[in-house]
Amino acid sequence: MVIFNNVVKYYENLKVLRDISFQITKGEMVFVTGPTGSGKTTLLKLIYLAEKPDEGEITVGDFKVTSLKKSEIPYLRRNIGIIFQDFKLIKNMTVFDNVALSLRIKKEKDIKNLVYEALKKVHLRHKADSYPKILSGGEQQRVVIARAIVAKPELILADEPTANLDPNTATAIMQLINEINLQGTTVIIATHYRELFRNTWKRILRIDEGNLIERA
Amino acid sequence: MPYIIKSAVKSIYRDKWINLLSMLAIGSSLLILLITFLLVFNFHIATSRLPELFSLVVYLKDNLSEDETKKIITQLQGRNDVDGVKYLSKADALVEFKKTVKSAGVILEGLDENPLSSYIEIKLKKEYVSRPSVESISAEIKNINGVDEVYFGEKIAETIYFLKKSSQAVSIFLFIIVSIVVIFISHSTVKILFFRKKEEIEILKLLGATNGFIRAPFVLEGGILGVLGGIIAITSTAIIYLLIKYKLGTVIPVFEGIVLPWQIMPLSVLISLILGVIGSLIAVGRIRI
Ligand SMILES: Nc1ncnc2c1ncn2[C@@H]1O[C@H](COP(=O)(O)OP(=O)(O)O)[C@@H](O)[C@H]1O
Ligand SMILES: [Mg+2]
Repeated sequence: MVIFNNVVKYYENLKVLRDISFQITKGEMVFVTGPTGSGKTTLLKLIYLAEKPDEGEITVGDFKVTSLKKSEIPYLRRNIGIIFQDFKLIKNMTVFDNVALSLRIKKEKDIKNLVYEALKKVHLRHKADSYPKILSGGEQQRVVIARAIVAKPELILADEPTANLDPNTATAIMQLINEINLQGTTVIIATHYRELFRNTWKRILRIDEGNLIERA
Repeated sequence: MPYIIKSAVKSIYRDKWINLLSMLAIGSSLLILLITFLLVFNFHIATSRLPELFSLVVYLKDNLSEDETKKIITQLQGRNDVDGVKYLSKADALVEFKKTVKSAGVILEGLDENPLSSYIEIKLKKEYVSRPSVESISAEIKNINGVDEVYFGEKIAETIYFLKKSSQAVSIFLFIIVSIVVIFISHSTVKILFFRKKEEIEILKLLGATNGFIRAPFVLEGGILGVLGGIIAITSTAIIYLLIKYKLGTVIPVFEGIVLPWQIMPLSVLISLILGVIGSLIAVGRIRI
């Protein structure tokens, strides 16, 4: 599903990722970890082409990301549900409209039912007509998850999905992501928060000084 | 696409304050443009009519026969610097004199004979109404047989010529200013539309929206804002025009004659519509993620 081959990424003079290679198969759930500033967010951005690698090759599903034409980028992104660390909700749209965006962009039909179905999964059906700013951090996080899953993408990227949440809400969110994965969606979670993967048997990729170290 | 229209209208309503600001920005820049246009247009009208007020008066000798007079008239009409001539016989001159001078009856009373000479009034072509050319023309005419004297207002000719020349300079100067204003409006409209929507456009792109999908509602929004801004501008212009004409005009009569070409109104709205649309297009295109 996701393949990195000798990927190098600089920001000006800062070499964030030195020589990263890994492979994630369809249906897997993988943690990407490392201290803050180690390049986890950067690694996710390379997958949905918000940043371009300086060297190496990246493949996502059928897309050869590194040689993608500009006009093809939207089609890559439609196959990826992204749970942004800073949410990226449109503040003057209701919860319903924010979630519906993923479907409208793909020109899907049956928007109403699909949006309510996704909101039910994150237990926010009753907030459909609210605006993001009146929601708590945990609720906003769940709206972002609903928006990421509503169009049923093959790949979900979650960047620090529990960063601003209390422990109980964090557990609930992780359960939700687990459920999504169990239904066959590939999931990559970037987090510096060890609690999230302490008891997991899932793959953990740790970024250390720009290199990737895999812990089984 | 009802979603596009719904989305544009909703968005305009939701961001009503920032939208009002964009509209005022477009509107006030356009207003500057319209007022400048109004000034130039009226100054131009005023100065281009001035030469029409100017005329040369050619007094004829007293004892000319009808044929000789006709010959002089045709000769004057044939000149390429002359726009038109008007002949007034002694009797005509008297009627004209009585018309313009109220107490003429008293002045002329007791005179058996008509003391006035017959004369020809000449309207020169606009481009010849300058002091040097008027002087040489009148000297030429004075040499014609049967012509007694040529009169013209030297000062008037000079002033008209000066105003005409300065009107051109002022027009060019204002045109440059207006061009700068237009560039400034276009630039700031784009900037406003861009910053207003930057975050939203970025999010849409990250969710996989094509430029086409993003453009449609934004362009519609930009267009609507443009039109509303244009309406603000023409309404203000109309109000200012009416104030000048009917308030200032009663105090300073010159301003009563101010002219506002109404065709400029729909044209302005069209311009601001185009501004809004192009502004949005550039704004969407500028975000590279
Ligand atoms: N757009 C950028 N321009 C320059 N430096 C950046 C940019 N984004 C991130 N960085 C730097 O790259 C490093 C890795 O950042 P990031 O990928 O966000 O780390 P993490 O998500 O692991 O905390 C940090 O030192 C950060 O300051
Ligand atoms: Mg990060």
